[in-house]
Amino acid sequence: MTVKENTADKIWRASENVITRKIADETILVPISGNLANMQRLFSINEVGAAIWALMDGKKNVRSIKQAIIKEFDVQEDQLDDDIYAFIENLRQSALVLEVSA
Amino acid sequence: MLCDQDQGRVARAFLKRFSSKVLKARIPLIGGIELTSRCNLNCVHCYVSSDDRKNRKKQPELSTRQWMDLIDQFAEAGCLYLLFTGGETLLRTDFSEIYTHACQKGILVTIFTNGTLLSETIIDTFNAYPPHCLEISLYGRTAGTYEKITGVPGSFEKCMRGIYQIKEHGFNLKLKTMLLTLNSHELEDMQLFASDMGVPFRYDALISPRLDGNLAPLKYRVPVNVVAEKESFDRQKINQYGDLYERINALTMSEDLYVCGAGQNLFHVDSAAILKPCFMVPGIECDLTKNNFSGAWYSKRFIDFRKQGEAPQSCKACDKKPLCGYCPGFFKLETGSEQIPSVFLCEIGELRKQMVLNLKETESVLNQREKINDKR
Repeated sequence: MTVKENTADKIWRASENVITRKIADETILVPISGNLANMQRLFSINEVGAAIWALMDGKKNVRSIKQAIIKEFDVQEDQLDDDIYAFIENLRQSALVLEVSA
Repeated sequence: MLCDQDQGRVARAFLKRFSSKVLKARIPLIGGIELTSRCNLNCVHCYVSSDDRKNRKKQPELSTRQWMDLIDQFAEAGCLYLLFTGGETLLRTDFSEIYTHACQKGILVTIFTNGTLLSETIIDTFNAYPPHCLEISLYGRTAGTYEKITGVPGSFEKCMRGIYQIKEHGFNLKLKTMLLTLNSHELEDMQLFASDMGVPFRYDALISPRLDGNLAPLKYRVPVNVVAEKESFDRQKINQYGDLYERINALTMSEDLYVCGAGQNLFHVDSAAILKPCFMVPGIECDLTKNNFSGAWYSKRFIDFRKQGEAPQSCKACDKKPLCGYCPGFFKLETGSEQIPSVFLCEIGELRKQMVLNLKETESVLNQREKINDKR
């Protein structure tokens, strides 16, 4: 099941296999353990993505993360809706986030 | 929002932007640390200083805690790639602790090793935190050749066992060799072995003197014509040289003395915690047991290191410079001066240039023939 098919009440947290690095004002996700195939890969996230990533603390649901982003950034709600679900889905497929049971 | 750096146009755009920012801010993105200068082998060509080779067991080394503190400082300053080298890095009984610490800081660790000391503990560590890359030096395809170089009976078998172990666990393995008079006859066999294993292989013929200027390793240098002959059969190397020759000639090559990344985004820390722009660069040093890494890296001395002079006159406009292995540190070790180029490197550069030019001619003839055939 994709994230989009889930509800906005889902809660996510960063996988313990990933370290977040901030280098030259860029946010980089570094997989350090787990799937061997991922070990040669790095993931970069943009400013809005980095803010969402920081809010995925295993406590806030997607709805409240979205509200926080709307407050902080000049983004259209409709556009953010699509982007945030696509972003989480990408993170999930790359095993960078884990769903937390409510 | 998310960009996988292995994939596509967006990744290339990110890398371009990231590289530019890292260069501009002079971030120490890539480092190398010599965890120890000790080694269980005694290779004839090793660049470690003669005194260090003799007194390996007597020299004080940094504690586990000291290395961890330094690694924290590297990460804080923006280091993303760190090479663990030596000596033989796996001789440190606390290797796993230090390595794990670096991984947990989000640093991608490459390990240079002779592969003879892999233990279950180390394999377990790699299973928990797979290395970015493991590079094992293979000095021959037979025990006789390998051990003539390493000086240690039984080391070939241990090395081979290490290679198979790493391969079996699926870690990112690369093999390499230093091309020497003692093993050049087995180069093709080593290449074939690596190819059969499905592992990348590279070789380097640019043997330097030891870091104390001792010239003993030079007697094992393969003559330049033999190097050129070996390389002329290596399509990958020739293409790489062709690409370098074309790309760097198209730009205006810097006339600064140092044109590599040393001191720009690269740093090296030896087993006594002495920070240098690169292990080859003489004279620019800072003791990290007494100084903070960032403080040293951003000190006037290290910043100005790259402005210290111009390239040797004969190298300035030389079109072989992208091919010869140009390195003022190498010059200093061999000729005693960063301003006096190594004749060996000059000759290698010339032969590589001829190879590139000949390849162009060959390809141009082939292309012309194909065109004529097409018209017919």
